[in-house]
Amino acid sequence: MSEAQIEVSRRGGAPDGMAAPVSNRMLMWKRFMRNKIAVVGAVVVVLAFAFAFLGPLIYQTDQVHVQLSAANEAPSANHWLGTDAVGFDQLGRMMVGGQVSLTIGLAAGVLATVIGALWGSVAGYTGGWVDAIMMRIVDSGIAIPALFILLVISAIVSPNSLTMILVIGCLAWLVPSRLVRAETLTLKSRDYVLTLRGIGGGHWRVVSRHIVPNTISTLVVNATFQIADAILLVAYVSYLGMGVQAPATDWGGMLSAGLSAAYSGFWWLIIPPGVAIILVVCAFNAIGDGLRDMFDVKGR
Amino acid sequence: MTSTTLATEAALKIDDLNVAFTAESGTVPAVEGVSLQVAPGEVLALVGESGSGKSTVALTAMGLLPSNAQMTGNVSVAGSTIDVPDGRSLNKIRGRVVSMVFQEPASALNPLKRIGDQIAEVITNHTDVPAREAKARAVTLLDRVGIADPEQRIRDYPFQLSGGQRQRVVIAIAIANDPALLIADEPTTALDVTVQAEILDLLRSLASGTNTAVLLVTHNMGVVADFAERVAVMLKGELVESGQVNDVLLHPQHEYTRRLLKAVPRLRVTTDEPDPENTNTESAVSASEHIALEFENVSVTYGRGRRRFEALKSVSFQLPQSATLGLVGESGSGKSTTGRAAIGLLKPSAGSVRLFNRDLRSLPWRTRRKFQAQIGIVLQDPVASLDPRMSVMDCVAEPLMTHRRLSGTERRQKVASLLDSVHLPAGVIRRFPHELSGGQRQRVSMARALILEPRLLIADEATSALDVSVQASVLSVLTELQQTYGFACLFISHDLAVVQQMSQTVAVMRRGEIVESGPTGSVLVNPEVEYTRELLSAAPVPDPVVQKQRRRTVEVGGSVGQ
Repeated sequence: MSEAQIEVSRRGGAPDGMAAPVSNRMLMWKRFMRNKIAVVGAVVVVLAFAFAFLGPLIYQTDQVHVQLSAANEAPSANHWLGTDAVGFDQLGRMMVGGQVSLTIGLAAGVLATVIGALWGSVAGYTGGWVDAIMMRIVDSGIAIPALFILLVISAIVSPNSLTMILVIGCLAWLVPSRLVRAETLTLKSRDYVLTLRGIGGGHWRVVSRHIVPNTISTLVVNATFQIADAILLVAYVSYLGMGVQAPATDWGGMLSAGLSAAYSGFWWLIIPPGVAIILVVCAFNAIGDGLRDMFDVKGR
Repeated sequence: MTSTTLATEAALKIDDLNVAFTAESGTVPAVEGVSLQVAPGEVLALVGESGSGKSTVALTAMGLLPSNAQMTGNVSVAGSTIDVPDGRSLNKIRGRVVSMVFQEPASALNPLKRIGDQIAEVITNHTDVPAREAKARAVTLLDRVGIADPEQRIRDYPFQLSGGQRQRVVIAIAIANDPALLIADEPTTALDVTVQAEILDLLRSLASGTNTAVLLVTHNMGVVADFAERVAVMLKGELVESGQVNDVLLHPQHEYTRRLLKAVPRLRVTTDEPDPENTNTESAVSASEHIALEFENVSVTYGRGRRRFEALKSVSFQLPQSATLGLVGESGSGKSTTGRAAIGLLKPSAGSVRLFNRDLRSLPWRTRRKFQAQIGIVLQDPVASLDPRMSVMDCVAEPLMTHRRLSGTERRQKVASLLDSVHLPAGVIRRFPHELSGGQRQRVSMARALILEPRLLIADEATSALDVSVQASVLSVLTELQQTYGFACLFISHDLAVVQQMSQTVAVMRRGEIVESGPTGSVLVNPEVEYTRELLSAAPVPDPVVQKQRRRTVEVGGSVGQ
């Protein structure tokens, strides 16, 4: 048919001599790599995890036995970052504390995103009064400062890694739930969803095959910001003394402990955990920006 | 006035224009070596399909190219050269010497400002007049573009006006400073046909009355025949043919122009013309006794209380098996609501929708799904119809997955055979929607709709977003498949010519009601209802001679009452 031959390609589409399907993934990868700060962020995060989880294999220290005779020592060949108030090696302590900070941050951020995605997609897809009630719950949740609730809960139950993850995860899902709901509202009236409903496709199929996959990009971007927020939140709480309890610690707790020695000039107790928190939080935020560029498909 | 000096030179002169865009994937040429001229008072139509570069030419004349465009060549408007891509000097020209009417009036106006202020703004931008005088001129302009009660309407906000009225306001803004050149980029594409006819009348009278040159960018050959004096045809960024409208439209020289004109669906306006396209007519209707879809006094209402709105009012029709019913009407007439009610996505507030002699909504869930598997659906928007994250294979196979039919390999074969029957190359099976053109996507939608071998196909403006040549190929595929599979088809469209070509019976809708229905041959040729007659006479045909004649009879007929 001759008419088909004059079908002019639309800008962006490539009917003849089409590029391979991989090309899209390649383009996304290129877009991420173009954001230099995001690449730096990714490197920092990888290094932070390697430091916290692989570091102890190379740089072995005793983080169990208190050694008061060696307290508050300045950095030396034996203790690269000195020792803290009860004689733990500060560099080794950074690794142990990093494990807690990063684990809680990662797990709580992911948990918050998952809860938020479920809540938001159910509210947006169901609509009507169910949606109204669910979103009012979110509104009231956002009205109460998370730090306040966190402190109250920490005062009631004894805080450890698991409870911290659960508590932060159950507090931080509010923002992603709003994002996902907004996305779901536009997705559920797309033509492909209507078509599927019209030929007898069920709700489960619509949500699992069309709505969730299409919100993934929003979710992944938001999850990185959630992780950064969670790491900060753990640091706040621990700084206020309500975090994981000794002998376990995290970067926020180390900062808090070191601060009492600030006037004694023990800088090695304050600067390393502070810098670590700032670096990792900034790195996660940068990755989020990069992912946002990567998924930005306005041109399509 | 400067118009006397301007009259001696061309209103728009484009010399060897080249424009290329830098994109992520490299440099894409959009316009290559285009030269054209528009004399004062002349209407030149620039036609071509999407991606042909016609809009880029228009934007260049306004100096509105985006920053990623590189341009060479010479463009001058009424003697002033347009070459600085972001020059401030252009602001002196824009709105005064050259102005533009855009496609979508809703987004061309500021929703938060009164229309009078928006018109006055263009006047005070270029001339040093007191605000009161600018306002007075705005009233005159509104009067000139045919808005009744201009002193009152000047205080209105855009949302208080209809689409046609908004486009009149946009035109008023464009002509506020008596420009030498008016660029109209698809000025009637977003409007209904009856409104389109009014707007074209307005533009025509303005152009002939003020010696303003008009560059009309359009894909609609009917509009060209109705309005333009000269025509220039573009293909892939190049000008392939130009000349007087009568010459180009009646005796096209270039092969592309010929193909393009052949692809335009033509409305038959008399009974004596034979009907070459529609092969399966009356016999098919009488032979089938089975009714695929039946509406019995169906009403659909949206909202409740004071905001209650009746989208359908007691609509009744029957669609026999393997026949095609065309549903025509303007926007808001309830065509799409009818389509949605037919597949059970909307619950009628009164009456019954019977699909294959069963009321779908009263069936238990399991049986209902079985009946839904016998429906195929193709919707308008080629972009929104396919999930961007699914490959063509997954898109087309989805109905099979939904109804758990066939095994993996069988499914693959079935999808491949369907893609073949909609004339898509086998390679597309692994592609993603964004890698396909609009026509290809729409054919993927069609393959998906037909994979369950449905007994009823609902096509809601299935080809309206496509270029004419693509539309022609998609329609011929649809006709071919209907002959193979013998499904009934509810063909919803605003394009009378397409409906005439596709369907044996037709129902004309207006404000939620069917105002006239019957065999296509009689309803769309010898209509009995005034509204159908209006619709038919408003749709321009791509033959300048016939169109001029029709326009005359409408004008005469309007006063005599015919």
